[in-house]
Amino acid sequence: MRRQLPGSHKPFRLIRDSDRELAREQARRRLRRQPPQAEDTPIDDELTSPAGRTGIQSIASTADRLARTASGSDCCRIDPGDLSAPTVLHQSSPDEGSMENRDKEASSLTQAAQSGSGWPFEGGEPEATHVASQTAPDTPSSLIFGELATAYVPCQMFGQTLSLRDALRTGTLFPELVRNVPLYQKPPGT
Amino acid sequence: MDARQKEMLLRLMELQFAATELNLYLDTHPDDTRALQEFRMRSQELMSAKMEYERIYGPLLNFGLGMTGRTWQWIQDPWPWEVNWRRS
Repeated sequence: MRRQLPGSHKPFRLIRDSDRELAREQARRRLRRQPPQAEDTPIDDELTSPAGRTGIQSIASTADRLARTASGSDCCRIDPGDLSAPTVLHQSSPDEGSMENRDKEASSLTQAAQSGSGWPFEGGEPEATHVASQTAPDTPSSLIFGELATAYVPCQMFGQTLSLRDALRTGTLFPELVRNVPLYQKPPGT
Repeated sequence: MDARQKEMLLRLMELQFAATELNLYLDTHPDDTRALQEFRMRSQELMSAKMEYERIYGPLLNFGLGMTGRTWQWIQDPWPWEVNWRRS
């Protein structure tokens, strides 16, 4: 049975390079904006006086506070202008969506590990399984991973054969299949 | 286990391995007459070697393919993991 992870109901969407570049440019524009100055209102005042505010004002002030506390690092900076309108909160770029899915998967895997039904190998589920489980079932795998590998195996022809003793020692009767793979030996000390 | 018995067992293993290899080859090349001819030859050699071994040292299998003598000989020979296969 195929394992379902959160977010697997979402249809697969190819993200082209132009989309990625557009998202990067938007992120750069946001980072260029200056964060608001911290001298306007003490942070403690906003924490202790939410009464009487509307929801939008509260969101904007929260974003403002976060921007001030995280002014030292660009990766955590939040622009209050983006949060001033409630509809902005429901928009998500492809990167944000993937982060949301990643969080859901992480919580799902944690729950599975606690219940004893998690992925049996160390290091978590392979990345390819993650990608495949998030796509629609009828999505061709070539659209996900690119062109698949194809094996071309020449047909064996009957020719010379090894002596019976050499065949038993090397593991094959046919000299063209001798690989000289070292025999398994127990590690020292076991 | 004397040297002759060990040598006969080794010969049995070699013949059986070669017959298995030819069997696998013929699975994908059923029309190869040379391989079929060698398979028949190795199979006959294997059958003869088994009969010769069982005539001297007792049954190789507990039932079905070997004859049982007047006594129960199945437990008289050493088991395969009890044989020291290294040449001394």
